[in-house]
Amino acid sequence: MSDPFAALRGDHPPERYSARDVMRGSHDPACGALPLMHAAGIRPDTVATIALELGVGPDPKRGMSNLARQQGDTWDETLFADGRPLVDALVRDGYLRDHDVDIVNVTDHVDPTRAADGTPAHRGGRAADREQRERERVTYNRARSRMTDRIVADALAADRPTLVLRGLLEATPFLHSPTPTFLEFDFGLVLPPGHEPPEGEVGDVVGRPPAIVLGDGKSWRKLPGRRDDGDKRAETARQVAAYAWVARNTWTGIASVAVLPFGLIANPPASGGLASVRLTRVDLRDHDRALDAQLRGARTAVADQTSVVVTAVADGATFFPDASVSDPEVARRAALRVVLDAGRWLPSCLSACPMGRACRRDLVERDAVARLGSAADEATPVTTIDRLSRLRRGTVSPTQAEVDVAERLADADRLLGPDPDLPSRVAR
Amino acid sequence: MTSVIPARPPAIRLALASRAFEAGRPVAALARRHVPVTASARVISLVGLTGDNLLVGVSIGRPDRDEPDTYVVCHEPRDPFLALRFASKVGAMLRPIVEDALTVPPGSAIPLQLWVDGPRSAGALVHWSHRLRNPWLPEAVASIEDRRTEAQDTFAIVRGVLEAARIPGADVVVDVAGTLAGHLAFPLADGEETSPLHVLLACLDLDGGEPVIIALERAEAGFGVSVAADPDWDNKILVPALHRFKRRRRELARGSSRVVVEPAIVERAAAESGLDASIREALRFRHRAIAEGVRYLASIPALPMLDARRQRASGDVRAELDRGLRGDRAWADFPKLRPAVIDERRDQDLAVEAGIDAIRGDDRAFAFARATGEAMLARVRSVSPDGRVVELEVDQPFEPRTERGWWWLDDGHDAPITGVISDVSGSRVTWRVTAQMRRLANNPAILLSPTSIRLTSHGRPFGGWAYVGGDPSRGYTAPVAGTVVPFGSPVDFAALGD
Repeated sequence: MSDPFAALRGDHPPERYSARDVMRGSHDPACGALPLMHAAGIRPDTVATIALELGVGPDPKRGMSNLARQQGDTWDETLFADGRPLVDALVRDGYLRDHDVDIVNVTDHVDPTRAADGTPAHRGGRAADREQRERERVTYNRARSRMTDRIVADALAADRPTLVLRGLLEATPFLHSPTPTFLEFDFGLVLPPGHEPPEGEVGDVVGRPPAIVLGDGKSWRKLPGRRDDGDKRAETARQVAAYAWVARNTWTGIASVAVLPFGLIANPPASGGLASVRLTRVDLRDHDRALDAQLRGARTAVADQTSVVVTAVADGATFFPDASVSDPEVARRAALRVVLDAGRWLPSCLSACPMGRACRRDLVERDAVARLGSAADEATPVTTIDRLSRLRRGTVSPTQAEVDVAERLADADRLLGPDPDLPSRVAR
Repeated sequence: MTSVIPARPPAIRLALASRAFEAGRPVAALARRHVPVTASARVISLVGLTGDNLLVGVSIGRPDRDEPDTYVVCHEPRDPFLALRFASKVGAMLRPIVEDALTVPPGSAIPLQLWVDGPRSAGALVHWSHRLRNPWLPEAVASIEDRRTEAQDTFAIVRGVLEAARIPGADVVVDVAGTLAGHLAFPLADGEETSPLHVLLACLDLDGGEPVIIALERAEAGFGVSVAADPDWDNKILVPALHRFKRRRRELARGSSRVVVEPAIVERAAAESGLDASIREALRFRHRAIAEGVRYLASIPALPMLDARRQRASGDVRAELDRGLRGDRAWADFPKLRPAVIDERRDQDLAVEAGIDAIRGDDRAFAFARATGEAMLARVRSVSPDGRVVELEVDQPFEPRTERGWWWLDDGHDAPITGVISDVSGSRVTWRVTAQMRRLANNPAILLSPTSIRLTSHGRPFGGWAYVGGDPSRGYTAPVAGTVVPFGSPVDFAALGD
């Protein structure tokens, strides 16, 4: 068997991973299911749909509001039509000394008739075209990635700063991805040697020539000070960190060391139109560390699961069985079992991962204590909810390892006493 | 929003979760309701545009009714005219409610209370109100209709309400989902699973018969009630209606930039496009869910001290609301350090008092404090003749979180008997009294008569602490008894004033 993970995927082309997919694992680096699916070249959305078809999980329901999409598109247009509002903000906040800056939109240099992801806009969606479309997408994105490398290299040797818009990074070899994986950053500011910004807080940090600062545009408003939404910003910081991390590890020469450990988020102002930009600087060092840990963990997880996958595949497990398989449902169930067994569910998976609900249902069926959420940490080493109940009620004797948790539970139970009656739900 | 609901210590949380999962239905986490439901409470429902901090509709109504009393709809919040018109109507809707609340005499609890579905809705109000602080209207068209001043007044009122809501124990803005999750242990994981209100309401119907996961998945598949609408609702209902509205409005206005903002034209286009009805229905749906949650909470017996708690906060609440009604434009996002420190101390005092009320009035809250070693239930074995040493016996193993500041929770005196735990040996505890020992020496029966007494170290952090001097390694010298320690320099009392 050449690649057991590809065999687990089966008769289906490898699926592409986006920046969001790359980030997803950093929510829960201990989850083994995500690296396994990545190694198999199958997206969690596809596996969640298979789980729905097999009755193992509910509808993953990953809809996105068109209003949000429209808002994002409008903001991107403002930000990237000519880059001017962005340059204004960079000058105002001290990242640039003046407006004497080159602005290069990478998409202007690589077939601009393509759709944003590189697929040819004129082609239909017939199944026969899919392979051709995918080939063209990859070719286009590779060209764009190479163009980004070239622009950045030239910008580092230029006589003035350069604002690079819509750059692309290829992460395929770095992430050991079975399918070509590209990450698009919205903008990057390249400061060649001798062009550090003015003195001040920003200058102190940026002024380490040469320097590259990467950033992303987000259409939600930036509120003043502590009223700003920290959760959204932290999530975006994670995304920008993924760009900086991949750039640092895939760019060569001086560009790789010039990427700074902080990024920028470009938002519209708290009030008014969309003609101006407000920047926020976010520290990426912690995310960088988390991404490194995630990558190491993913490699370990894949190595650990290889024997499981080999055995399962030998027993016929595959997500997309070919026509020769006598019972395709059994094959798919077995493949799904491999993924579910490798997973580690947390409540945040419900919003972070399409498999969140399928994994949760699996926990319910196994009566696993992880179903309790963060309270499960207190229950270690007890593994099932039923066992936990029995220990609490004192109807079973704890094992040596369970003595502590049994004592804590019994104390807590004694302190709580009987539950007060709850009122029934008030009728309308 | 700052509601004072006792938090569960980890072991208690695990035990409650275990009970809820075993029963297959929610169980009570607290014995009492720690948030008031005032007679004049209102439900405020919000519908917003997903992906932006813009509201398309607000309604206000009473929790005992399934229909809001007042709706205010913004048919196109991205149109500056309509956005400002909407803002001025929201301000007009809120103003009488706030004014009514302030008619109570100074010093009494201010009955203003607005219930929202969850913390995101309160956050949406904050985000939206910032658009009104310095509202934008193209100058070329400002002559047609300019409501910027009214919008700024609305900003001040909303800001006043939100600032008042931050005062602990005031409960001016309360989120139903968080309050339900604080009072009940649901057979759900914490975090994201317990945040949607419609999921919690579905769980209230569980009786241990139907598997929880089925009810849970059914509830999650339905429409949500958070402020940013469900993407399915957006895409299937709101977006098509918005498109129809815009097209119809253009047709009715026949290209005139003046006519297009006329209220009659806007109302007609909104009615004919179905946009108005869609938003009102969404508001009604949210109102019903929030009202159900409030009614359920109201049926839980309340903590007796809630009115006193609100009364303590009333001065600060009144100040913030007054400021809002005055249309104060100068709200500082970063207050100066000194007022910020004063506010923080005030908030801490109010939170501590509210926490003490909670453990005094709710057995479960007292149990939470016992679990963390911050409270104990003990029988008094003896009181020394000088009232300085009390021997106690506790009913179960006890590990105090701190030795200092232990006081008698049920002491009816203004200054409670307070002391230090000096020795814990099995079930025997020695309590060395450092305050009110003379009162205790005169009448030891006040502790000896009850079958058990409740002590806590919660709050009153400096009460009764014995002074032991500073840490010598940091340059402090412990004062010697009887020695007068002179000031470093003479104090000019005249300069201090009266």
